[in-house]
Amino acid sequence: MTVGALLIVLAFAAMLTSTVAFFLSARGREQYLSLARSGYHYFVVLTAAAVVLLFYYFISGDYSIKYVYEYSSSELPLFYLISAFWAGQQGTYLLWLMLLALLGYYIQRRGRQYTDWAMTFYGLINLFFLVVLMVLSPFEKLATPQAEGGGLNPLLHDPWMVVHPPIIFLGYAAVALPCVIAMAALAKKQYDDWWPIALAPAALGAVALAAGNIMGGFWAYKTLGWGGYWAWDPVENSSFIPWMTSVALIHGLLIERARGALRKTNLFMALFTFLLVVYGTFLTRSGVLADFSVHSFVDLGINRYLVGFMVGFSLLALALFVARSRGIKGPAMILATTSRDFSLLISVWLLTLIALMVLAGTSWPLITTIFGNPGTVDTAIYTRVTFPLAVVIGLFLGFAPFMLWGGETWRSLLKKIIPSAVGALVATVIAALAGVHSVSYLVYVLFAAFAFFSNLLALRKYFPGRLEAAGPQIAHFGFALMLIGILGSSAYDTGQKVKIDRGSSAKAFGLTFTYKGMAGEITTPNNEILLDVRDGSVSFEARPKLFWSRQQEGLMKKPYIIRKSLYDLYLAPEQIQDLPQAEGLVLKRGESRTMGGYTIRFAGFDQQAHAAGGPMHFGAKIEVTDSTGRSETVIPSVIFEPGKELGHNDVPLMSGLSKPLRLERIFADQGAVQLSIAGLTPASAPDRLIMEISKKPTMNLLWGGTILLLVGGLLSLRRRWRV
Amino acid sequence: MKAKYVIGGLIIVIFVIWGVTSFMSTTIRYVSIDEVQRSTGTVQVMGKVDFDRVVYDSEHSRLVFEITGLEKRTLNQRLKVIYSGVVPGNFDQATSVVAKGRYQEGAFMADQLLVKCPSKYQGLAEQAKKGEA
Repeated sequence: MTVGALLIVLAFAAMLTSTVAFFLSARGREQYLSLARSGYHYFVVLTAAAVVLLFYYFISGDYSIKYVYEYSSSELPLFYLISAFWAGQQGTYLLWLMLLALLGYYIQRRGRQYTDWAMTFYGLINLFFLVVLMVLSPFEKLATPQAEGGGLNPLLHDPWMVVHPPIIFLGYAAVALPCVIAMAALAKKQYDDWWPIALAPAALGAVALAAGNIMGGFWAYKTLGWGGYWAWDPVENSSFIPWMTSVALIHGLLIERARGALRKTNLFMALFTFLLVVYGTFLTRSGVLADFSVHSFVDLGINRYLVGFMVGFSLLALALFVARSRGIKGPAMILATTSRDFSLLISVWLLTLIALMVLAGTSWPLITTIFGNPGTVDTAIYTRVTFPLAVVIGLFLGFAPFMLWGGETWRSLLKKIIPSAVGALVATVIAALAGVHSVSYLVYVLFAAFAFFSNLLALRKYFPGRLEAAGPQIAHFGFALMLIGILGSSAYDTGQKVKIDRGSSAKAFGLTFTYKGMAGEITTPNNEILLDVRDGSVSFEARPKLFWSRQQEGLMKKPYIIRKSLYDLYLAPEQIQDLPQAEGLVLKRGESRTMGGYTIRFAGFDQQAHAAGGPMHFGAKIEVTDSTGRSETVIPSVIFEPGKELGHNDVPLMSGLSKPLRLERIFADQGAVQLSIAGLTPASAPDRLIMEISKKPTMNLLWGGTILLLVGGLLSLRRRWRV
Repeated sequence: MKAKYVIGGLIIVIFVIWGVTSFMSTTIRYVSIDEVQRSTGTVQVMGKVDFDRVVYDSEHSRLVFEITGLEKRTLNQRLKVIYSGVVPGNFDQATSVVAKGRYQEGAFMADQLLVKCPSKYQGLAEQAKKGEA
């Protein structure tokens, strides 16, 4: 057994001991509590040791370890050796486990009376990951140690891809906490004070999932070159769904904090969010969607454990919920339409509906399999079903900052929204003038702008002294910006394909693009395309990348983005086409042409004798006549072996002249040849760039909005964590 | 209070029904190669590329190729696929492809192409193992 595998087995033993001891302690035998806690310490230390060991293998380049061999190579800088850790399934399970291990201390510190039960359920989760790591070990050795690794996917050579996975997995790990705390509350039938313990990790999960998804979108936009930031792919959806439900959970917990109401819903959402994470992991890692997604993982032999855990843990959580649900009682909701209570409840429903719709779409191949041939949904469906929900969210976000707990009269509420409603109307008129003509889009803009102005005005109260309390307003303000940015960049995205021969220019969106060739060869890693861009009187260089990756056995296309205040111009290279050199001098047999004072005639082919087995010369008899009437026949030739061209045998155009004449190509079927004469025939472009240029309006609003959403989320998280 | 629940419930039910029907109407079915000719609308079909008959039509920027079926009964059936779009970089290594599009006048006009590749790393690792054996 390898050292790494041994660490995992020992961690499993420690975790098992700790979990059993926590269970016994939860059942009233408190003498086991210290054993449970020290067992947990050992588990964390052993897991951390495994993480350090794997990092060490990566950094030292130990290619006898299969996982290291598969995802790294010695030429990688340290930065990417770190990210190679989570480039494959094995490493991500270990990373996820490490984050779970650390977050377990939160429960032990703040779990109050729920600690023992919560740690028992939490232990089951950790044990599952340890089993996975035993079956699918990142420490597995290759039968033959290799001297060099296979390398890291060039798409992952990006700073965002170094931080994106740990943040997503931090989110996944964090949403396990509200789940096990809710299970503990159900087990103990104590529902009065579970919410403060659950709220902080729920907020951490929501913020981490938001950040992770946004980073993923940003990376896709600037790296993948298909032109978008969100593709509704199963892998994306499986982290989007728990993001939505975790935000729903936070909003529900805020009602519970203020009123004690909505307990049952919140307990359920806490369970549901984590179960969705498990289900998403199953969808993307079991191979069930392998025929439906471009970047799903394939089954690596852990399916039965994944399915077993998913089914087992879901049954446990849901059975607990069903068994207890009659006894969960709290104050009733206040449902006055003008109340903050009501709008928070609506937000819980809206976010959950979005999650359910995306869940249904992502699971569609499985659902349809039950009824016959499997089918996938067209990804356009996701925008269609989420669009009306986004409109309603905009409307409620516009009212949100002015609503009071318990409600008020409509008259007093409407009075408060007048300024932002006016602002929203003005913005809608501007949008209509700017080219938004669809009625549904105008309604969307109206409500999104309403949310924008309301939250902006609400921020005044916090500025400058109390900004740290303005998390929700800042986040909602950012979200309103995102809504507008998403509409502008997706519904009003226009593109055109340009084909530019080397040395030539093309015009698109008022700019002139000149293709000047490539910095290296197509096989050079990170090969840049040299483009000069002229924008009015300003000139600058654009450098999209296009190269063949040996590691991926595929063409990598990295776009170049020209950022303007109102829109992005997105230059996505598609391919470099080698051009036939047909613009030289093409002559049929007997044809002649006069160039630069010389008349050149193709008299016929000349197949020279050659030594048996040696290279063959295939020549063309060319009669050259100069302006004085002097005439001469020269024979340039192509040298080749069967199936392979070796070179050209150039001859002076005329004796005493320094202009070499080359036989470029032979068109045997047409009885024609292509000639080039240095200094006489124009050199034709050797290749052509094919590139999609698209104009994406309001990208800056979208990215600016995401930053504010995260800033607001972090401010709120800090407050929740301190309570 | 009751009325509010009824109205809220109704809105949600209507939305869910609308959502489900939208899902149904945009479902892109998987069909096998022999079913393609009878299909209407957008479908997706999986097959093995015959690499001897791949032609890139640079004038229209489209790829013309033939696929054969994967099931026993369709192994010898061929389908001409015309794919207009960016050729996936790893097309050459495809063990099989999934084409999304519609059948029109004797050919499958694909607007999306999903390439299934053998996992190279595992292949490499297996080779290394074999090398030792």
